[in-house]
Amino acid sequence: MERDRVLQVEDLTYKIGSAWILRGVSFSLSRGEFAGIIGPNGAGKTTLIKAIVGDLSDYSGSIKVTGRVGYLPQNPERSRDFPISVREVVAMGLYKENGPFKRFSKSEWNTVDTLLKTTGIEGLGRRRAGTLSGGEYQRLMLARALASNPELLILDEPEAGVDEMGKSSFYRLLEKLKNEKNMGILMVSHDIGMVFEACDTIMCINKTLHCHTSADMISPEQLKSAFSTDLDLFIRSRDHFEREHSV
Amino acid sequence: MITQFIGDVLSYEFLRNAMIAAILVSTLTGVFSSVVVLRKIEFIGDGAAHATFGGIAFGLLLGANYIVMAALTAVVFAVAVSYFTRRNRLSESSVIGMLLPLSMSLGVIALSFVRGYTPDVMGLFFGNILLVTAADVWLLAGANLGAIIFFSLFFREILYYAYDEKMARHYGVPVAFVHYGTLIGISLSVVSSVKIAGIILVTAFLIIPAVSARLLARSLRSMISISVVLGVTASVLGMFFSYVLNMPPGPVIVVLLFVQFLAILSVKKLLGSKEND
Repeated sequence: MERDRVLQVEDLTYKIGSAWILRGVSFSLSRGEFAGIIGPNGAGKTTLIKAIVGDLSDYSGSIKVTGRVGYLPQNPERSRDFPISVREVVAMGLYKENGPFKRFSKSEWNTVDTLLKTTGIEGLGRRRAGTLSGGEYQRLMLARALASNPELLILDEPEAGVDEMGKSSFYRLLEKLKNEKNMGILMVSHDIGMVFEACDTIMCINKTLHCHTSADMISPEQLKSAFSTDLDLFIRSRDHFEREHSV
Repeated sequence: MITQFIGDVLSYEFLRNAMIAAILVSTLTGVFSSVVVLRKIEFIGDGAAHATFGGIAFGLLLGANYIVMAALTAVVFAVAVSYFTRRNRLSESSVIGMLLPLSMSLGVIALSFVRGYTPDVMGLFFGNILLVTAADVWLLAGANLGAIIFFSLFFREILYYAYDEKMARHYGVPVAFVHYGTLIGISLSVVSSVKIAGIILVTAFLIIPAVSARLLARSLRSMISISVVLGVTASVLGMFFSYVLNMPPGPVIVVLLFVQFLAILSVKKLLGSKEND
């Protein structure tokens, strides 16, 4: 199990002035594990993600990532008429391996085309990226995140701007990728029903880690301590999810 | 009329210099304008142009080469704006809004101390074709060469920086280098274009061609090419009309750039509405 570990977070703490953003957060993630992070607004979910992907440095504690990381950010940049093609956006994910002063090789462009196929947006490669629909654009961002063939995939609210149908098929795609590529997936989401449906383990965060357990083992007390005022909304979502799945 | 214009361009050195300079200004600003528009840093270009006034005035006061002083001021301005914005979390428009009038004010104060000959201030603001010398043409040619090298070497980096700076940094693109390289390039474009377009009008060269090109382009490469073609066309036609109608070329070129924009926008809207029918 130790050798399958792709992420180890130990006692992660981050403060802005006197305000705690994250306090003593510890957890680990292994290959083939799909973990969902839930919590109310301002709970520190995105800060946690930023620390893991290296966008934040002045924290205490340690973060150990084994292997490459693919990252799908919250509200990715999108301009309808920006003159960049879908293929060029995916190729951006290969930049680190390719390096400066070079052009992408034919085999790298082939990798790009394969990624478009894997994420179900083949045939759109020549389109201007901004003209894709919300669901297609999210798959484009996923293709870019997968370009470096990561062992750990991190997604920050990937459901934003995607309709219900799009969300379902997106989560099915993640599940398929997890199994096929045996990667660890860490996802922050406000879509609690989907998190319970798609993820193996759930982490409830509100400054500290209130629970880290399999989806069907979470107790109301754990949820209450994490969600405080948002608890009612959360319970309703969970009940709705359970009702749908008990039929 | 056209034959006479061509004959005069070939015969008179000042007209020849002006024509070559106008074309070179269009190519230089055409290249950088695409990044200015895509990165939404139009106000920095405008600020750098106005900041050159302070540099020119201090150059005259100190007896130094005022183009070199203007170049220094524009570069310092653009880098200072970026530094204050990124390090101190101040808004870019606030910093430019403070530094722009400061530079202009210092320029006016410096000019008030200059004894004897002072250049035509209106010429500095709106451009004066008679001011263009062979040295200016060489300066513009050098700036064009620098821009071509910069864009050839770092095209991918510039594309990703313009598209999504945050994720470009995440993927290892040297964003700070590209950002400051672009700012310095914009500043030098502004300075080398001041004699043709003037401090006030040079912003039009830095914005309008790229805004028009964006309506048509499918890639950054095509956007830059279209910007350059539009800029050169407006410059050559602008020089011709100003010759025929005896009007200052800088403003005529700017009007033509805007006419191009309106024409492209109208055609695009027309085609768009036909497609929707």
